Amino acid sequence: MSGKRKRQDTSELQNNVFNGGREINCMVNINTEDNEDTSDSESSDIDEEDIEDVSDDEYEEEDDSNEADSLDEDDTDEENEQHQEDNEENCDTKAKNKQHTRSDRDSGIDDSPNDKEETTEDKYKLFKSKATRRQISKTKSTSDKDTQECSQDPEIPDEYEEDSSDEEDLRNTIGNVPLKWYDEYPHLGYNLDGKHIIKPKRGDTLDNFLNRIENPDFDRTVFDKQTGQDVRLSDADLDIVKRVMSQKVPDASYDYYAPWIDHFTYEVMEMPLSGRTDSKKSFVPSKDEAAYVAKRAEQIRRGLIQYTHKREKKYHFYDLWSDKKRLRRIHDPMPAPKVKLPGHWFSYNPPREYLPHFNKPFGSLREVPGYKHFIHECWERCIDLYIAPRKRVLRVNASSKDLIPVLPKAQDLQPFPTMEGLVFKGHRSIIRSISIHPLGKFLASGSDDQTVKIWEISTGRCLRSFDIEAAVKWVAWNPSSKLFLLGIVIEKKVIFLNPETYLTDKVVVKQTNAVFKEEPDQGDYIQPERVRTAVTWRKPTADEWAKGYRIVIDHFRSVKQIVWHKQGDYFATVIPQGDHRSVLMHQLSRWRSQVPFNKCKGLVQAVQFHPKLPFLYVATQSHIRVYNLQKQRILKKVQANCRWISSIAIHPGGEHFLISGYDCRLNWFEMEYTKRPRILRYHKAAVRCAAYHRKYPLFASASDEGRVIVSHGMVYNDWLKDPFIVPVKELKGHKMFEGLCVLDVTWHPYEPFLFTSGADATIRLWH
Amino acid sequence: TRDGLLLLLLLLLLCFSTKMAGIKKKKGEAGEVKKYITRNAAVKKLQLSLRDFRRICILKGIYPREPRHRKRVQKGDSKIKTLYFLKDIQFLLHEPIIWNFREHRAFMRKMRKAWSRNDKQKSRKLCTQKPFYKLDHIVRERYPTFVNALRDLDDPLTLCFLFSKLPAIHRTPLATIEMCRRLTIEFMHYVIEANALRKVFISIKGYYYQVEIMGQLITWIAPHPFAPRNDTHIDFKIMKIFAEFYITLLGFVNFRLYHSLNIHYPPKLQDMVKSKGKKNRNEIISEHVASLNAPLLRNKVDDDDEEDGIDTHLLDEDTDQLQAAREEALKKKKQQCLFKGLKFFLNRETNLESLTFVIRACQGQVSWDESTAEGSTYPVTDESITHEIVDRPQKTQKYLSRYYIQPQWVYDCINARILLPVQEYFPGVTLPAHLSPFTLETATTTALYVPPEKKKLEALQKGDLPLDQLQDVEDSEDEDSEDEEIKESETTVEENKDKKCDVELEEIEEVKEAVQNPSIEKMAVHEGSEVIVKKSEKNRREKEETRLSVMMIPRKQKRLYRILRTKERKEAEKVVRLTNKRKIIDEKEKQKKKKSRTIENSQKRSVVKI
Repeated sequence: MSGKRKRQDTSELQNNVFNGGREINCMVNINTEDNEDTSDSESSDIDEEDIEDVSDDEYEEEDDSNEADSLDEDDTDEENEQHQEDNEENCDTKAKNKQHTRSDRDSGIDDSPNDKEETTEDKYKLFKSKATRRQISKTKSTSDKDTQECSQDPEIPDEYEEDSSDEEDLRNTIGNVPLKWYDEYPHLGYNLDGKHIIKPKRGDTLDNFLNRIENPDFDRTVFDKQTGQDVRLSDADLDIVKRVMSQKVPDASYDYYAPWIDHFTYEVMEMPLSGRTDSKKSFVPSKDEAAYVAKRAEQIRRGLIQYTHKREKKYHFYDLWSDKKRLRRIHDPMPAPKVKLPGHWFSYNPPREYLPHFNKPFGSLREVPGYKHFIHECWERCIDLYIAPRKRVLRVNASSKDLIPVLPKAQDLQPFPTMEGLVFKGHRSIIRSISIHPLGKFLASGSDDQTVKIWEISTGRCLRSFDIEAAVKWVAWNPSSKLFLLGIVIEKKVIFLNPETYLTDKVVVKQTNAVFKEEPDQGDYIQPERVRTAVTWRKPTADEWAKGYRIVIDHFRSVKQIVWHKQGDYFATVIPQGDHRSVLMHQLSRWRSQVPFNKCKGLVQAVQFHPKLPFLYVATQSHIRVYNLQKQRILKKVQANCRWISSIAIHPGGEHFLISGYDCRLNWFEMEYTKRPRILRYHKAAVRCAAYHRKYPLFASASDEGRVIVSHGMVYNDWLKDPFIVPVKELKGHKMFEGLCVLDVTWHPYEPFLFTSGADATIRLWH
Repeated sequence: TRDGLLLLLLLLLLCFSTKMAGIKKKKGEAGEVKKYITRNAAVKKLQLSLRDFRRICILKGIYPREPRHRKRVQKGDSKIKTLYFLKDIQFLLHEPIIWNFREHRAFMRKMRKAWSRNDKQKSRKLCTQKPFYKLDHIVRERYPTFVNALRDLDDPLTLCFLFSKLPAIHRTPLATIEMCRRLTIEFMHYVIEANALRKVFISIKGYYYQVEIMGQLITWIAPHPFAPRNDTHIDFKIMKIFAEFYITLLGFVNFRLYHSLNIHYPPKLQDMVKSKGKKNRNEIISEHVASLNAPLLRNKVDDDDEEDGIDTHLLDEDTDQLQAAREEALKKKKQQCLFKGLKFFLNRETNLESLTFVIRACQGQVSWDESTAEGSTYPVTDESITHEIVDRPQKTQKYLSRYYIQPQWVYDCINARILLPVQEYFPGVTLPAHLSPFTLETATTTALYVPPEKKKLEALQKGDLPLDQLQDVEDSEDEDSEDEEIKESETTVEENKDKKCDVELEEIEEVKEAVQNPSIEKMAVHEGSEVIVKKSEKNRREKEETRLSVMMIPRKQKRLYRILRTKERKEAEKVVRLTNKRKIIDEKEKQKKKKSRTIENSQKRSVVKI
């Protein structure tokens, strides 16, 4: 194929050479086609014999054209004759060419146009090419037009008729330089003899004007920039210019809609145009190629070039778990938690109660739309899987009931107070303190309404009411059975009262009165300065005596509490603001007082005597100090595990004590091991006070939330055994008043009765 | 010797000096700190880009860990950083895939160069040499045993089912989607062949399927049969990486599963498929496979029945448990051949894939109209069809020999493990609620809300309610219920009265006895009367007791107790809310029915009059 192709190419080349350009050739062809109609009769006359001739002629023509070319180069403007000959020759070759091209076409449509026609056509072509050139020059130099004519009639064969683009420059003797370089000279280049070529005359503007008027061809005269001559355009030229300006093909006879002829078809001709035999070269294998192949083969043999074989597939499945080898895994693998499974809520047709209000379920499956967040949820899961930090969390799979400790039934731990028995009404204000007579018959209560009332426990009657001059802060019965004496604390005073009633034992009352009738003899006892300034004992006045007062002790600051020793002779008073004299010890029988401590360590909140031993418990805000009174030494200092102690209660056994605090907690201490108290979180508000029962294993605590909790608190002789504490009853009854509710709690000395005094001015008995 | 002495002295001095200085412990050199590494440090250590790090983490299944003391681990910084185990990162250092990443990077560089030079020949040549990696060893590494892989199959299946429904666009390439489609279909085929389906649930999100394979419960969601809405803000790159791994995993799992049943893998059909029309034979086969409606070719058929599969040696001691396990196994077997002998025909507008899968997994036969999809086995005209599944109610029901039912019946039957009465599922009828099979509550539980439908279902399962007469019973109930209610209220009042009277009488008697007692002189043992404690009193006492014992909970457990308590309270509130709501809804419906009935009656009357 290649051979044939080559041949075609060469013939084209030849054509180009002959006809001065391929373009023209094309045009000719087209034109001839246009003329087909006229020259139909002659069309089919071309024989195949001619083809052979043509092929023979080709070589000759080639030579001729070469000659012509060489001649052309030498030609000057004047040598027209020779050119004419050349032209004739050219014409001949053209005719032959035409035949050749015609035979090139496989269609077999032939036409042989006349020579005349051809010549005219050729002229057209030439004009066209010139005109285009002129057009350009015209646009460039419209300003300096000259009227000078250049007689170039279309009839006279032009010397430049067959010029190729290379030959054009021959007319321009100055070469391809700007024309303005010659502006100062009268000439414009040189001719072959070396003489000046004088510029055509150029008139001034007046001449120009005259020229315009006089010269009928003024409009079609154009200045040729390259030669410096004026050129008159013919009608055909003008026509072409017009066509070009209107963006048409310059050739007027050009048919835009002519059928397309594929001259250079890719199809290989069965019968090649030229009968030339293939060259030897085309048969002999290329040595270069052979060398290249040998080189590659060598490289492949050596393994320098590797051709990839069949590519492996990315996914190929087989029995992956066939062997039992174990690969290394990541450290401490934690499988991701599974997605939660849906409940009834997510059903497309759930029970109606699961749907939001006024929503109806889908009537049937076909109505269910696609879920629009599906991809998003999938994506979120993916994100979670790779970016969410994982952690093992213990999930408790228990109900709250499993956590509640199993306690013995309260019924098995009876007796304890379970219900409200009596309500002692009569006071008009907050009852700060209550106390029960050691024999369990009378109840004394001190209130903010400045009275002290004595109640009979069995009936709940108020036996007597004493008006005291100030709000009563504390009341405490003397524990001795021989005296019938009540200690009362008001402001700075401590008053001892004999609240005799018609129910009291007359003998005891008399005895009491007798005891306090006279002041005991002090002898040579000299009161120390510290004590004298703090305390003064005095006998009550006659009025006061009639009221029942037996002794009045004035303190230097307000007193908070009075605590009796179990024998009833000694008592202690607490003065919170008393600094180093905040705890005072008194002896009733000898009217003497003592200041036991030189220093005060914190605000003293409460004081308590040990039930059996001569120990004193002093509770400051957050500490408890136990003193041995006999040896006058500190015995123990206990950190109370409490921010603000409100009261202290000591177990009748003496080994345990209970501390209530304003931070809502009760602390049960063991004397032997005070580091870790049992913390009882019964209450949600400040615990006001706590109290042990003297006989039963019971204790009670009262808090500001209004609850009194009675607990069973068994203590064992075995030291290793922890006390057995069970809350058994919750008592509610008192009403809240100004944020206060239950203020004092006391147990009956031998019955399991509980007495509580409240801010609602009542005392309640629980049994 | 002198030198030796000197040396000794020097050593001693050194020792002393170190002792004097004391060994200081530096922060961040020992303990928990050494266990963790931040993400940035890990990326630096592995010399990877962040994108590649993410890819390797996803493929290798490495995830950040929550340290016990974050501040300590981050050397005093309390900002939240992503922390990995250092050991995991060190483990990654030896991963061969990282080399593939690097190769890929080099390849991309070459490719870019070729593109920029417009060297098409080179880029074409490079394309053939594109590096890729295989994930086989990673699958093996992450799942040392096959059961491990099964246990973790939920997410892969869900993602693959999603991908199989996605459109093939640039973000989701066709190859991945086709692979996902293929693997999901294969998996469903296995489930059909093994009869492993346990639970199905149609939710608003999609179809939940639960399958039991080798004792592992696997649940996945298949989206509703619409093209999922493609959100543009979602980064599909991550999902693609996951899909890549999941495809590999699922392929190996499928292979193994198929071979456990002696089925040919990749699946082949038992019967030869007739090729109709001009379609390619392979295409037709793949379509038939995708229709899920053809049995697969097995290598050999083994007839020996499997045993119960209960580990009796573990349950020997506990006979109750053994009994329960046996019952469960029996139920499962029943479920496996629930639709055996039934012939279904799926009408248009039903979800072919889901229904075929579900019915065939319970040994039913399915077909559909030939024109709707490939793989139908018998036409509508077949007289032996027992159930025709219709979603849109049709006016003409041609065949008397079959039931026309809605698709929900199939799903409900599988969950209930019995064939439910079809009356409630006729086309056009308001369907009974579709309940989730995944909830824990049973009719006896009190802590959770049990919808009445569930109670009814359980009664059906037990056989308390006859299957056939259900409808009638309900109707009669409806009619009678009003009267009954009135009666009930009356009776309750009476009962209350009686009770009160009894209590009062007894009290009076007691008092009388007490009065009379002193008059009785002889000691005697009398027949005691039962002490009646009022319910409210009892409740009150119980409450108080619990309140007191709650006080004794140790502080360490108190918080937990409170949490549990609030949870329980919320649950209880929910139960109350739902029961109340249900009550209201039921009443409304009853009233509606009444109205309609009265209208009907009046119409009838008017007709009669006319």
